[in-house]
Amino acid sequence: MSDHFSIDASPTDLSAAERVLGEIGRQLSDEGGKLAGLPGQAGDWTGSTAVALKGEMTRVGGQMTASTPHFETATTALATFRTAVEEATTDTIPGLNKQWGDAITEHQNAVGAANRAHADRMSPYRNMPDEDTRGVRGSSAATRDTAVTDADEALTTSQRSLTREYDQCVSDLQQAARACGQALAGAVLAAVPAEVVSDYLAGGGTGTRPPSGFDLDDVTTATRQTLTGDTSITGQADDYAAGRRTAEQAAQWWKDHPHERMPPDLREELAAGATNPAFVQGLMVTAGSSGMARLSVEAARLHNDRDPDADEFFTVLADIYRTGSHVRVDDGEGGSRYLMDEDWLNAFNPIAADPELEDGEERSYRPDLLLPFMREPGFSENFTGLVADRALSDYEKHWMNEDTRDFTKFQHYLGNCAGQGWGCVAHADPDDPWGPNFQIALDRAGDYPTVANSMLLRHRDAVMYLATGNDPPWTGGEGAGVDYPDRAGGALADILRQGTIGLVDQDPRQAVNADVAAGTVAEWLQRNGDAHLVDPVNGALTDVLLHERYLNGMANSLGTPFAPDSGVISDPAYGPLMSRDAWARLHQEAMRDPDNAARVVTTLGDWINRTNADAQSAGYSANGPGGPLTQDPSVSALDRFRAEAVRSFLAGNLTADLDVLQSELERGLADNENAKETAKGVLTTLLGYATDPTSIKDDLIGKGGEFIIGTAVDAVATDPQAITDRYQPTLDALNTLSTGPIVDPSVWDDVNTTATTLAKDEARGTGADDIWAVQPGYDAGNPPRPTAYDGDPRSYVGHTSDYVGGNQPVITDDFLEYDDAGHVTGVKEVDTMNHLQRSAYMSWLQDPAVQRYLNQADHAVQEARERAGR
Amino acid sequence: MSSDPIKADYGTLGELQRQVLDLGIALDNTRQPLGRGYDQVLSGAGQFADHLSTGATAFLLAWQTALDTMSDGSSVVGNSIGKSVVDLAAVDATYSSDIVL
Repeated sequence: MSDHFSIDASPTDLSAAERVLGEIGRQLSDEGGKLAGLPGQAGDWTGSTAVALKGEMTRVGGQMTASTPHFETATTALATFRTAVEEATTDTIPGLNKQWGDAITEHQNAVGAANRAHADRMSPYRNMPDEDTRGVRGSSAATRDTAVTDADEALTTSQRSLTREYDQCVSDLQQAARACGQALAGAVLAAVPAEVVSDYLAGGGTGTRPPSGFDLDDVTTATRQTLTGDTSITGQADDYAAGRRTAEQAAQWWKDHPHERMPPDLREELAAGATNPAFVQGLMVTAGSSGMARLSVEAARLHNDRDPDADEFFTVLADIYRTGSHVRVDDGEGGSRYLMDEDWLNAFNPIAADPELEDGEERSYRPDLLLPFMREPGFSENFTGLVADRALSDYEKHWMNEDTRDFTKFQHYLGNCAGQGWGCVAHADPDDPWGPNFQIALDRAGDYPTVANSMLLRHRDAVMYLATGNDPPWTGGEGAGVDYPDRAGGALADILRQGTIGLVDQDPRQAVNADVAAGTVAEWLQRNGDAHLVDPVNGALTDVLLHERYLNGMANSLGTPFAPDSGVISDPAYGPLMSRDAWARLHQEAMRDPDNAARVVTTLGDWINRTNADAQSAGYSANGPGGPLTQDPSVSALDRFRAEAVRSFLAGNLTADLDVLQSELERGLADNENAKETAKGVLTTLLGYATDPTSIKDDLIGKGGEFIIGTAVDAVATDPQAITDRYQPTLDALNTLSTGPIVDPSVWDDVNTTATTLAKDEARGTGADDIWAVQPGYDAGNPPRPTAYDGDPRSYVGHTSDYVGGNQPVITDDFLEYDDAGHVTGVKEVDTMNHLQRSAYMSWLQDPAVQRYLNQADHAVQEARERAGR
Repeated sequence: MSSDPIKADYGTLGELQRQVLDLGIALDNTRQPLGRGYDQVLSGAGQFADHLSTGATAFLLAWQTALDTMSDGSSVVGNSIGKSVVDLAAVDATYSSDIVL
């Protein structure tokens, strides 16, 4: 007889599943531990990429290890359920079936017994006629029927009870199944969305065969994000894949809908990943340079359509370009390169991505589709340099020279053409983001000192051509068209400032590049004497000249023998050394503007005062170590010469173009009813500062030109006549200062000649007299004991050397010449000295004994010393 | 990613790369036993399968996803070993059914 109760479940299968999941959990733990340990086996593998990869190994290994407890939970849940099934199948159900059978048997027995009892009762009457036994039979049958009915009821009661027990068993198993399912659902690192599970089940998916059309990657993006986090390499790989998919979808859209705008959902995907480097990398690698240019066309067309989303998409695309500019990729040669490199730039043209666009259009770089997105900074230094270099190269080749100007090859810098046919809008509204864009490249060039410096070195002529107002449309100078933005001048000022002092401040090791840039600007201005910097660039030049390095460079060019006749020497200690004429051209250019002139006069005046004070403090000698100190200007004559040379230099520059300065002052004072007189008074004040720097009040030092001029204007207002009466005498005094042997570059030839003789004599025991003098920095309130100085140059060499590489890898400070016997024969030619020799030579010249000797032997030095004493 | 120069023993890196890539493949291949286990759970549950199928499917899909990310991570790492930048596109290791966890 078959069992009445049964259940459909297989403990065997469940047990097999337990083994499978348990094994996966154990393997994940073992292999995860190994993976996490691998970085330790490659300790000599270093570099930031190695660090990142090792970090990811550790992360994945840790995640694998962390998986094991979940598989143990799952296995336990399955075992619990399986145990319940086994109990049911081996105990409960068989027990119920037995009871069921027993109840039937019992029922059968009861019915049989009732029948037999009835038969037994009726046995005595078996030979009697029915009509005589009807009553007995009826009574007996009733008794039997009652017994059968009782048996039936008992059976029914038993079966109902057993069925209830079975139902409870099934219910318990259902509950166990649900508990198992809940445990399984919770035994995960990250849950998938409920609707994904529903879809999978509804689609009839199995463990090894998903439903038709089901793509796990597509529907578990959020789960993957939870698992990988924002920064892991795997998370980045997911973002990369998302970018790639977006690019593929965009390409397909353009192919299918060449005349329609991209759908909003695609733009939303771009917006979501715009600042994610991995997404942008996937997007850009897949789209290619051309595909990205096609996206720019999309933005331009939205703009032209006056689409309400145009501005937002423009910002998104700007973010994408900005982010992409920082992405580096493998170069296939063991190194890396920027994704947006020169090749990328050269191919930045939408035609390849969308042949529909082709209409006789050239296939080269399209700045009009890139530069509009670069209005704000934040692009990589490398990409900024590429774009700026390309813009200035194109400007030089196709626009700067009117004889070779080629509009068609420069038109894309004049305004965007996309979406409006291929005729360019050369005079587009400058406020239109798709308007003229050349100046944007200039703006960005000023973002990085290295880029700005490179522009000055590689494109000096173009920068200076623009900076001197030769192309009014771009600089906003005289003759500028009203349709052009007046902003390139500011960009050019940034380029000059950043490319010189910005670079020095950022990285003093690159001072040589900054100095060469400053030198090349000076050289250009010298060659183009009639060219003058437009206003903001002029101010930038003043910033450069008053920067500590360039102030020292100027002073040391005048106050040491090392300035070259042309070009620039970048000395680590002395700054950029250039000829007096080169420095004069720069200073005179700066001082064409009153504010700049005021800054230069007060700053140089302060420098002169401080240098004189130093020389004064060192100007003491004594007869011996214990002798009283007496003032002796000759022992610091050279120091006084340096200060005086700068005063003379300032005087010459200030008076070089007084008419321009005065007219500019008058223009700036146009609101003043006595503009002409007031301007002359202010000019007198500046001339007075230059003549006698000690008259400069401390509160003017380091202040802006407007403040200094304003202070002078106020002073003039108190007694205009008294000030203007001083104009001519002050000018005469200043003119006197700017003449004489002190301004003759040959002064240093004389000093060097004298020095050579002195060096030779000193080595022979003759030459300068030994003296006792105080060292620079003497404090009058606490006088030190004087030190003995004999002026012997040999004590100034042999102290320093430097490894510089090249043909002469090690240089020394020995500035002396020797004969075959090793005797000193003089000093080296200054233009052959290295920087250590220059420093040592100058230290020797500043030896108090030598200074006194030069004071006696050199007329210019003596005159300077005497002037400084006045 | 940075462009710092690579410093390493390339013999060590080669072995490292082999192990990581093999692991990526093995993790990917783990989909098979995981799916088999899922089918066994449902068949073992028999008439009770409906009561645990949602949880079991959530378990299956969550672990397929997790194993995918681990495999992808291993592939990217393995394929980037020896390069100066991480190759984010290298999520596909060379597949082999012979490699298991």
